[in-house]
Amino acid sequence: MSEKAFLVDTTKCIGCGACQVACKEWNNLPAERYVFFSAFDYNIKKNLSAITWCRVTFFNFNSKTKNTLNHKKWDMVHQKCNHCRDANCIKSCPENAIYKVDGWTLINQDKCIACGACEKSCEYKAIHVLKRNYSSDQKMYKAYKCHGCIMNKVNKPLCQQVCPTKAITYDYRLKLIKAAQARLKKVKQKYSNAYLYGLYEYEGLNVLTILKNKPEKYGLPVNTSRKSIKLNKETTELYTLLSIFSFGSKYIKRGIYKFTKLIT
Amino acid sequence: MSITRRDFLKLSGTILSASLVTGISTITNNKYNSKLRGSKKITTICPLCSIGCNVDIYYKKNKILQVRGDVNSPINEGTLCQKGKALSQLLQNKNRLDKIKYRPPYSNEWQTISWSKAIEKIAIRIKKTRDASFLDKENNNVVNRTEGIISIAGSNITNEEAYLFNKFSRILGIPNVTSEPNLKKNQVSSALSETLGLDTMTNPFSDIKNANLVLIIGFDPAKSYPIVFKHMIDARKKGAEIITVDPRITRSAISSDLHCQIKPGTDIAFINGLINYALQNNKVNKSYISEYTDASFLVDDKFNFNSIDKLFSGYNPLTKSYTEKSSWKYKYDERGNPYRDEELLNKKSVFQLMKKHFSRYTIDRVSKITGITGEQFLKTAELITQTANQKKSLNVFWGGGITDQKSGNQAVRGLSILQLLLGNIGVSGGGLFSGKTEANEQGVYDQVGDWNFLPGKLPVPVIDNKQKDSDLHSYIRNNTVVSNDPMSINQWSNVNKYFVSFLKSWFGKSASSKNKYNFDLLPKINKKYDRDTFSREFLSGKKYSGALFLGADIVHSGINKNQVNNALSTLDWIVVSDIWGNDTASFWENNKLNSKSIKTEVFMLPTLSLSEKEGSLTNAERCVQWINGKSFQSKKIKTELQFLNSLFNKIKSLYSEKGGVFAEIFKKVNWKYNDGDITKQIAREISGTVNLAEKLTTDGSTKCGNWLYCGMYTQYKNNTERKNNDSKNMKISLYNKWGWSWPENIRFLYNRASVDRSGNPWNEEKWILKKGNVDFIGDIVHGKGDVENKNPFSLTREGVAHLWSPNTYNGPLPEYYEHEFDEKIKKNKILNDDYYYFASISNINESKISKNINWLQEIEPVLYCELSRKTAEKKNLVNGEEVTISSFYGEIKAKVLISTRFNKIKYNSKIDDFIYIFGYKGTEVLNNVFGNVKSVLVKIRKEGTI
Repeated sequence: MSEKAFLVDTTKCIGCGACQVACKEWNNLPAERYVFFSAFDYNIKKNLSAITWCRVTFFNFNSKTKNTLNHKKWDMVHQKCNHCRDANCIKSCPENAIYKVDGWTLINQDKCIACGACEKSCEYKAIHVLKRNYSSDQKMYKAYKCHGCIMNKVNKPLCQQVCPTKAITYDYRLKLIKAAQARLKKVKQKYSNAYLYGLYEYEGLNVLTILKNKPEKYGLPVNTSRKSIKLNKETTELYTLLSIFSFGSKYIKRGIYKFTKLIT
Repeated sequence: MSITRRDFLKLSGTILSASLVTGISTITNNKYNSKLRGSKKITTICPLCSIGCNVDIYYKKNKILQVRGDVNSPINEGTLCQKGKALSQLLQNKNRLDKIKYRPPYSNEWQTISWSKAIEKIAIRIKKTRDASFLDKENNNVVNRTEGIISIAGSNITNEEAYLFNKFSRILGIPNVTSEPNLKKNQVSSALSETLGLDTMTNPFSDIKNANLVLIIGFDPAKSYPIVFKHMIDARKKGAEIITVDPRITRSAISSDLHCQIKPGTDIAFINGLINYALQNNKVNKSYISEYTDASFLVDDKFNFNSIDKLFSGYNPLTKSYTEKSSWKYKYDERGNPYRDEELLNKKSVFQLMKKHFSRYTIDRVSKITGITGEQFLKTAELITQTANQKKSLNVFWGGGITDQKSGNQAVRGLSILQLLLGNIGVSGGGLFSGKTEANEQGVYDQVGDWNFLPGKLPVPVIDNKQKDSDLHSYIRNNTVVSNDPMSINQWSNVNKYFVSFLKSWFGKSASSKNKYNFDLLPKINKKYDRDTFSREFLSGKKYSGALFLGADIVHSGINKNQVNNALSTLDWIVVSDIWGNDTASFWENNKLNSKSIKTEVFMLPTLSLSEKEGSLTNAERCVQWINGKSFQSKKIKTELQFLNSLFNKIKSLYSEKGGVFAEIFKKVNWKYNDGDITKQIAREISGTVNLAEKLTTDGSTKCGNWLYCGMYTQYKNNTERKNNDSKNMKISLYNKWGWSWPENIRFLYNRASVDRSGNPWNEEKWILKKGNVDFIGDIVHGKGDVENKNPFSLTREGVAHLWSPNTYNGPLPEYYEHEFDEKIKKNKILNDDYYYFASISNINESKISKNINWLQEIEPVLYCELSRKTAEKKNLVNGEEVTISSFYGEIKAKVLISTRFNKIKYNSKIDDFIYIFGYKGTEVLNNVFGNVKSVLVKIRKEGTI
């Protein structure tokens, strides 16, 4: 019951990017080192990263087709960790460093050994291991992602707080589902393919998104309930056994994890 | 009890701050301490665009922790956009300038000098130049002007600084005083004043949500004005629709209900088509236009329009301009009032002339010119003309896409005409909005204006062949607008009161009726100081020897960059102030110039951004808000205000010690400011001794620095400091106790047009003025007198809005010219060359001062150009590759982005594609290629090829 969630209404999103800057400001994240729009359309990176936990993408549904002049084929989407209820990252973490509080998926960075198992298992590409030391405070070789702003004690996440058009709302999940379904009915009058994403995926997401079109067009996975992975038992057992010899050193643990992955 | 969203925000803000103080949070994780615990808060104004959002800055030990929207502000309602959120990177940035840099003549490096030394050096230079170039008489007329100095103000200074800068410059006798945005724009502002009376936006931003329809043209508010788009989304929640007209698929276009993707440069045809649809289908607000506009006026019999070469009468083919505009005038009776035909049936009436003129813009023709389908145009026109209904209102919002064009003033005229025909000016949910990029663009325009304006748009005394303002009487005679129409309020008939009060505030006790309020001391200009002449003379590098650029970056103000660099190298000294180092100050480092051979001395002063200063700021909706800023710099940095004051006092003491030309003016000028509360003293001087402009007198008993701002800071109260968001129990939320809005705290300009002759609002649902028991209730009435007998537009001569403009330099009605483009080709000598592509410019995320904020650069990174797949294939380009784009004005390097966002365009056999260039350093880099035009012909060269 106490699970909280976001509702992102893309029909209200204007793509300004305030959420992205607000997230960076509150969490002390540096700017990306960019070269150019190196990803699709108007985005400098393909995915979120260890220093970009939240962003807005501006893209075409299908960049490859030539006729893209219809403005309905373009869209903006707010992206961040979806906080799956049945999260792959939790299952894949060998150190059980990822846990749930009030619906939010959080990383205990004291435990994190930066093995990258979560990064590989996440279908939304939301969790990332920091590859480079950015010299700003507390940034270490660890996994990072959106934590619903609960690590910094705000009772309203910053992306929600700042959004000029109130495209993001934040409340108890059950309450939001009702609101979302009512809104979806309205949106469907204008966008017949509109879809509420996050009801069933990975046993339900804690970020519900009202999309103007089918989720496939946005590159989002559907029918995911069966896809959820189970970590290879052998790997887990072997890792648990071997990690005894790490003497608590994270560096060694990471090596051991890579080794176990290799031999199993 | 009903809780509004504002109350809810307030409540949650209180809960939040309470929880911060007590450390209670719903979700606790003891490992991390709350970031804001123990922090202090200041409220200031965001300097990154001209909306004027209020921001709360939380800081601890001079380190900024968070920037947050002020929940009380009716402008941003607790939210912020990406720019405002990134403010902390502006306030604390290692690229900020913190020392005075000095470049001696013929040197190739900067030196650091102290404040007092800099002031002394600059004062000596100014005195020397003034003594050498002072002209006291021209053809036996006293002119008292210093011709050797240029003064240009940028738009990131407060109203007080801008006012003092104007005073400083004019007292020294400098005739070349102008503001930076004015150098860039092509007479767009005059289009509004010629139509309605004042050249500013009509309604407050918070009123957008009362619109029934929003038309955005040539602008992307979703990206550059997100807080405004927020109000549009609020309007949509109430059932409004949003239409975007833009050649690109922008974020606004995606977020709107209808997108008209017209060809670039065809907007006048589009607007004229809309006007024609309204006129032909009789979807106009008849009672509004016959009463409140000049639709019923008769035009001179000699007027005609040649529909073959599309020229109005009075065209001079030699000068390629309209030299003889007498045939555009109204037909006047013996008392000087225009003849009228209330039935609007006379063939020579403005209404019938318009009907005839616009009838050529049929749906087929518009669709052919603009490239959108007939059905789509019809749908748009149908939606827009529905607002001719008195119960509905349309909100028009335009931006750089319109105003940066060569014929931008006619596009703005067209939009104003459309709004007037539909009866949407002066009413709630209607009005005209324009996007401005720099924070205090409006305020600097009001205080500095242009070469021909004193503060408050009072004309500068002119002495030339046509006009002789040789004494106070002739000045007032020449500049007072006379109207014999009893219906007209005609505020410009009070020029004498405004001007005498203005002289009193500049010259104080020394000004009296005996010496004609020291009128003789003011510099007199001849009309040779207009922008074109100025840039020609400046670029020729002969006339000037010094320049003051206060927060201005003239290298990027729209004149050919290479020529400006050369012109700067002919000057003896320049003074530049900016928060970053800018290209004007470091022009001598330009690799094309040999710095060892340049004599120019450069003083580069650091300064504070607007949110760190103290003073008032006027946002685009004319709301003047007081800033109580705080600097987060490690070093103490002085502002332009302190600079101007110290510099003036230094110059004054130099003149009293050593003497010099026309030194008596320094004794007579009213310039006594204490360093402590100089800002407030100047604010009081601007506002004057009375609280209403109508109380100003001609007998020298009142003072007022700028009559438009009269009442801003009265004896008792600084009105701009008010922060009361009480909306007066009106349905439309009139926040008239938030800050202060010029003139007279009127929030809706021309609001008398929202009621009929008997004082009843056209629309009861959205009234802004209404007859109460005694007087009007609601907003303050714009222009005095009863509604029955007085017309609503108090600043035009006849008291009505001008559908017809007898004074606009390029025609009384807007007309679309295809050949304008051809002329450009000839001008750029394109035919002998290979400038194949038609390019246009846009800014991203940027105003001039936000160039070093990397959180913003991350959203849209480097300077890039968008071009079509076809061109990319032809030139063998791939995404991200660097190309050199060159035009008549200069060249830049940009990265290529192969785009699918805009239509293919074919102008002729040679020019067949379109390129969009997006800026990373705002207008800075782009003007190298663009000059002061919106679009230009360019050629692209891949690196390593010819």
